[in-house]
Amino acid sequence: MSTEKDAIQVTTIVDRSRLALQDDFLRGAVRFTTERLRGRKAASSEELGNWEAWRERGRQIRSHTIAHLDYYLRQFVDNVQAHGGHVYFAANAEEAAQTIVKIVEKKQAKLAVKSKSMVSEEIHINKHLQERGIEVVETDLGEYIIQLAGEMPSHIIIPAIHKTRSQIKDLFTAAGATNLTTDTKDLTAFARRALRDKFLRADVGMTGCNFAIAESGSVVLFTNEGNGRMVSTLPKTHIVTMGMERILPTFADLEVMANLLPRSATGQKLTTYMSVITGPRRAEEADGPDELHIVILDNGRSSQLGDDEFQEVLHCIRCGACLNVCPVYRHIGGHAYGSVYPGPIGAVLTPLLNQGEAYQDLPYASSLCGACYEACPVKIPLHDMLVALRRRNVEQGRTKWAERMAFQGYRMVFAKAGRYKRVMRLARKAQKPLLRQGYVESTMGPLMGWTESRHAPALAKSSFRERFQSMQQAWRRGEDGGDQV
Amino acid sequence: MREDEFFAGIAKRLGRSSALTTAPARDVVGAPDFWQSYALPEEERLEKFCVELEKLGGSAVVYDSKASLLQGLSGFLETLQPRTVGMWSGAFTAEFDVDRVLAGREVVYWGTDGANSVARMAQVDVGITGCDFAIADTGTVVLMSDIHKGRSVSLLPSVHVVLIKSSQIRTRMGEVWAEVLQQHGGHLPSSIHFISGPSRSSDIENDLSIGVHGPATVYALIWQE
Repeated sequence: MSTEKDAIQVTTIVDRSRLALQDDFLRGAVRFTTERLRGRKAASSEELGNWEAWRERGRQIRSHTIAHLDYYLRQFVDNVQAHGGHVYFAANAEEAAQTIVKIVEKKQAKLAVKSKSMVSEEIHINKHLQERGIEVVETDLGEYIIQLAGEMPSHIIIPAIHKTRSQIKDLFTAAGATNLTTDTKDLTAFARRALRDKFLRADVGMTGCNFAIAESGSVVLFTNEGNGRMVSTLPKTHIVTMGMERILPTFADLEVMANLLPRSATGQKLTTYMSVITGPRRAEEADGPDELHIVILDNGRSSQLGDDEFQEVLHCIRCGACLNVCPVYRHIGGHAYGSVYPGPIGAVLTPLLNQGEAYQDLPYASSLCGACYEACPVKIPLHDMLVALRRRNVEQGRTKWAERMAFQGYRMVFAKAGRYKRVMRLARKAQKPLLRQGYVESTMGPLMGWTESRHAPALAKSSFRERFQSMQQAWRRGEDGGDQV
Repeated sequence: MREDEFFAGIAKRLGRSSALTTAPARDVVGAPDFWQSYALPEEERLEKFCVELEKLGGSAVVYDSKASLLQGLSGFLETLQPRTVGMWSGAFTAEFDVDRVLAGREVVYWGTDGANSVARMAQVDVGITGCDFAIADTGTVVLMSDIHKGRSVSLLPSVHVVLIKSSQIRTRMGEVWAEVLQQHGGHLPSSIHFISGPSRSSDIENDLSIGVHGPATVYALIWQE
């Protein structure tokens, strides 16, 4: 993980995209998967009907909750504690990781099993635990694959989107499988066997939290494979890591999210398992954890509260639908973003949660087409936020000298009609050496970004104003002659 | 970080001098009206439940009496020939008289092995449970844990057989929540599981595989009362 982070600081999204674009398998796999997920979402939301009304209801619920987060988070925390759960507050990733390490060490745990959780990637918990000699095993099939490969997830919902079955076979063989074929059944069966043993032996289970219900203090997990249930049922200690904004006021609100989240994520009506966990196991229950610890993470989230432009980013329910429709994500895949959260939501969230210089180039990885907003089940205006982030970069002087000069020049030229006219007249002359059959074709110079792979139309021989003037003169001459009707 | 600082920070960002302590007024709660008024008649609920579960790769069979359901279960076990059968204990067993068709099989009743319960259930081939509710809209069964109704029974064996009474089937999830809250208030059981079909994953090249960690087979036997 640390090497990835270091690499990010020296590369830009443009560098990483170039690399990704050379990977034909990746591009094919991302295109295939995102198209499939989009198609399934479209089909399942159409079957449900009234999708826009559902989206609007989703937006209203998230908006109300986040605007009153102090009340609902308090209610949630009180209810968790009333059921015997422990709650911790972490200002940043480091603090969250340290809190978890402390719990794990106090339990003298040797083995921790995890179900898929983006927030655990955000705090790099695996690295922290492994440094202390604790074995951490990802148990979601996709996460298990990329953990064996030593990589980061490249999609919020399907983390190993970029791996071929033969690569997976090799990874499993290195992990101890014998006589494996590349058959999905065979590969899955190996993972089931290998991980079943881990579930039964693990001291600690770690999960994220899709939603936290204020009225009862419950943690809700949406999963398909059953590993979330294993992790929250078998080990003696269950540690939940959640972003502070995961709250929903009531179970009535959960019904709305249960209709929106699975459809938006995978096109399912409901995931195979929706598990609602309230406190540790009760006395006399023979399974379920003895202890439930919930770590609530800020890590830059609270800074978005009260910000007119960005508060809504906290409405996100992490479905990944914006990735599947994004023309940029669909070409470059998740790793090119260099951050835990990829795609349009990542391009907004990452620079907001990380205030430093790293990642401030992500908002440019967008064509601002607004498809992300259209796909978002809670109607987050991601395209507006991307523009606002670019504006913030300009205000903070993050743009390049040449870009600043270009825009200053633009302002100067376009502010006065006379100046514009003179500059255009000059440009018409200056373009002559670049013209080929009415198009600008140039593989170098300042216009290269456009003209390298496309033709740019030449400036017209005369401007509209000039033509209009000569037309007017012609009409006047006609009227004088008296032969015009 | 200290709890009071954490909350003070949120309140401040939201423009309040201290954290809100009274419930804020809400214009809208839960699903849109058209959804809240969605209620199928009993016969259609049963049918919809079966159709939805089968779409997910589960199986559903409807019986018109308890006796015929038990016969069905017996036949199913006859075909499957499991070495061991795991089962919820307590009121559920008596309600369905399941013992009658289990004679001669090795049965592990949940919770009777104390600390060894999980380890024993991990060796079981077929887990038999009841349910607290079922949901027609999504082909879902709802299992609420307690000392007799262990989570492991519906999780560890590779086959999950769930016995349902038709009166337990609701149209949509929201009805279940309303009833659960009415029964339990804020004091919910330690876990409530909404299970819709067998365990699945598409993580390997988008290829669907069934039975990754949870049961690969979900078999619903419904007693139409």
